[in-house]
Amino acid sequence: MAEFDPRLDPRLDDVELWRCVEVTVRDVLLPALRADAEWATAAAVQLVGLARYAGRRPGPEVAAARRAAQIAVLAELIDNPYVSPHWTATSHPSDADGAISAILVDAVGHDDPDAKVVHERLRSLLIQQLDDELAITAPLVRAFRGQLDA
Amino acid sequence: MREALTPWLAEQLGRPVELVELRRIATGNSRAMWFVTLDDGTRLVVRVEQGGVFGTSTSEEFRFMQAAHRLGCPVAAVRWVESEGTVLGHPFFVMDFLDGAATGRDDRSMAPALADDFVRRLDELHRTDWSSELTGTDDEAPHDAIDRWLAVARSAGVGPVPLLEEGAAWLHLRARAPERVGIVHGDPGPGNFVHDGTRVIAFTDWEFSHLGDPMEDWAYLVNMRGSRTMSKDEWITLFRTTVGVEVTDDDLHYWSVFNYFKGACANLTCRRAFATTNPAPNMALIGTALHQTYLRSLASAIDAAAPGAS
Repeated sequence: MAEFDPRLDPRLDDVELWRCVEVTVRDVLLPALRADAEWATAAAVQLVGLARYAGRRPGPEVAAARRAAQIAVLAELIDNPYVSPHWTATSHPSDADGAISAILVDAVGHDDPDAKVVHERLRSLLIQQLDDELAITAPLVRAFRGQLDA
Repeated sequence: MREALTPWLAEQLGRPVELVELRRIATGNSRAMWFVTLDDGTRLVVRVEQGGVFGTSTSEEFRFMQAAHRLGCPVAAVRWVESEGTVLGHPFFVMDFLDGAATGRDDRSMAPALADDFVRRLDELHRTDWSSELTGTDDEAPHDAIDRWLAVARSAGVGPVPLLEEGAAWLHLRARAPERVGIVHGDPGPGNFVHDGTRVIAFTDWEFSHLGDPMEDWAYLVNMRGSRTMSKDEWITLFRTTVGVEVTDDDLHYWSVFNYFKGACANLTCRRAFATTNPAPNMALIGTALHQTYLRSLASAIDAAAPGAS
């Protein structure tokens, strides 16, 4: 837990607020629900998981770093025949998902060296980034299934 | 809810009614399920859409349940449908409540006799002659279903998802015409049926039902909803010995990819629902973490194909 020093900023920060939601729902509201309040119990457990995730997830810089990594690979593969129809030196970063989609679609069913490079560099990067995100969101799956993390 | 539902039910029944009990049942993410007891003891379930969740339609679900019931398949009798969303704010339909047991939210166990009966009843659903009850569908080939689910994902408003787009292309490339087109439940297995301990009373949760290749259901049972019930080999053997259905490795692989793709597409709709009409925690969880889990499984299943193929 971070050191408390209100002189730095006396406002409540997001982490503190989410922790309050998590602890209050888990320790105060959940035990007070009737045994037959099944839907409310399920929703409360899910809200505990959601609050915990909200308080601990990384900031938007992670998404920006992932996008930058994708664009770097696209730039490296710009002469690849699967990449070049969809991504050029003047392409805008906001078009990256569409371009990557088109590149992966074109490579489906091909196992030539250029397709393998797309698979090994671009697709593998997406999967690595997805795994990184899943490591953060995994507690949400447990909460969805009604399990409270310790 | 009570104020809006009471006069509507009275209109359907043609007499004044009183709702002596109205409570939400703790099941179902695509639909809110409300248990209702009327003043004459009639017990009903009101199944309410949740803002476009899973990209499925109340009207279609009602149509398939009604058809299955008329064809003698195990399903609750459906009574009335309100497709416009003008009464409760979302489309809904009303069906009879059925006594029986259902497994808990995360319980995937099935006694051997029950699993045996489940497989028999699911096979009957697949083999029933639906032509007298269901017409006018364009969902008879894998290509239609692939395109429909990709459109559902694209409608979620998060932009193209590369691994989903790749999944659709992979499925199109390897699609085979079904040996038989039947009623596919779309989400069969433990948690989605009511039973008496040894026999199926009714299949529930018909929002994914459609006409298509029954292999979709068998693969779904093996790799998804029934994956913790018994092993893949035990399921495959049960299909063969009980109803004579042969599920090959190729069938299982193709339809597992399809089911992960379908799940990833459907779950993405919850992201939009959470941001708009339904800011409930389950919508946030399904639209993010569950969607990502299915997306990862989709990629892994594609990678399980011939080495080098994507």
